[in-house]
Amino acid sequence: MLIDPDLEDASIVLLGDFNPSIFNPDWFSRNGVVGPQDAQLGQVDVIHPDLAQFRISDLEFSIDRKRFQVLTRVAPLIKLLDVAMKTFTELLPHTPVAQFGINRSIHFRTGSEEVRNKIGLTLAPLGPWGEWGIEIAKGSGELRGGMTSLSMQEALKHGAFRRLITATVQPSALIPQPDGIFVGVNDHFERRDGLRDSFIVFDTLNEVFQSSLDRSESIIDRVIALKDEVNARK
Amino acid sequence: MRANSPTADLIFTNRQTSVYSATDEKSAGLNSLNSQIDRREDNQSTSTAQTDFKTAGLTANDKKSITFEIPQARRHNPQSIATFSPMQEWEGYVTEVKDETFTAHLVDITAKRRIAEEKIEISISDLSDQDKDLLREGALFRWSIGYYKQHGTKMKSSRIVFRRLPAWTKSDFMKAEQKAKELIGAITWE
Repeated sequence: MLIDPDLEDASIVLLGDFNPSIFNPDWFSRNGVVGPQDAQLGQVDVIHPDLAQFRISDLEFSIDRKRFQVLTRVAPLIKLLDVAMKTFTELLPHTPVAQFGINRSIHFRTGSEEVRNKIGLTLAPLGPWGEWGIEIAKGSGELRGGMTSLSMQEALKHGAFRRLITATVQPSALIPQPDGIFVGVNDHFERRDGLRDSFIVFDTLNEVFQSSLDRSESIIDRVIALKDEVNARK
Repeated sequence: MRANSPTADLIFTNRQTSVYSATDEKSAGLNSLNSQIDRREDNQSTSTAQTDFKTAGLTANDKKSITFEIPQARRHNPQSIATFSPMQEWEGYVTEVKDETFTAHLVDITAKRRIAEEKIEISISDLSDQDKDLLREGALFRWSIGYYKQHGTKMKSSRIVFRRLPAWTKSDFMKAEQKAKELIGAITWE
């Protein structure tokens, strides 16, 4: 990436049918998905038939009956793939999974609110909004308006899958200073025929994981580069 | 875009609420995003978007589909979130294990290399106890050098993590055999 971001994360999300209550730090450790010491220090938020949320070392798990998510903020990100592959190709190979997503997101500071605003105006100018754009421009303080979220999507065919790459840019909700920007990329794969053949799902996940992260980071880099571009226009 | 427009100060603001902020989920922004989310088949999304600390990373989508009260997860101070961003990352495979060190070949992941171009000797004492159990010839690991950040401090750090890969399956062997046949078939002997 062009910069060392202030905050970042990556995750794999699987959509299918899951049994949340079987997942816990001890289960992952007993089956060799995570190390025993990491599992011992695991923190459980909730384990319930409908929802499991816990943390093992730097891995954060959130599982409900339709969705399995593992997220990390600590490199190497490849461990997300290893967790998903070992869990669902070796341990639970009959779990029906139809869709998956590889997510990468960062929060970075632009250096000033002015620069952040100019990046926002570059991505979503107020001119095309006509009179309403002028009204938005009049706001200030508590009544300040403007772009709150912008998404751009590419749709592709990838073997048996429809692939949707969606980049979202927003003001950062985590950086307390008013100059933070959030950029997130969701690389979503769903079977075009609606079948839930997990073998093909995990074969494809394994194939695309690294290149997906590389592509997401190049999209994120493009947004980061706007910081220098708007600074150069000063 | 108008140059020197007064709108320049107004376009990007934290004061607006979105489904991702923890302040007001009933904003107009929620409606617009939800309409977009609704386009997804079965009202499902694999996106994580910005973390909403009220719901521990669940998106607006999840909030709609789960009908029971979601327990309050830990609230994080953004500065308390630990991150480790790699400046450089290699994939290593162990070629020799000695009493106190091991030797490995490295593939430069950051430079998007596909083959090993470097060789390194690493002290076994640098590994965590649980990674020492995985140390054997042929084992794969990731070696990352980068910045570890938490509580507003930033520290350059190096990290070795051994990979926990799924066991080989019959289909893996069949695929490898098929690939080998394709490679052999592609060789042109002169």
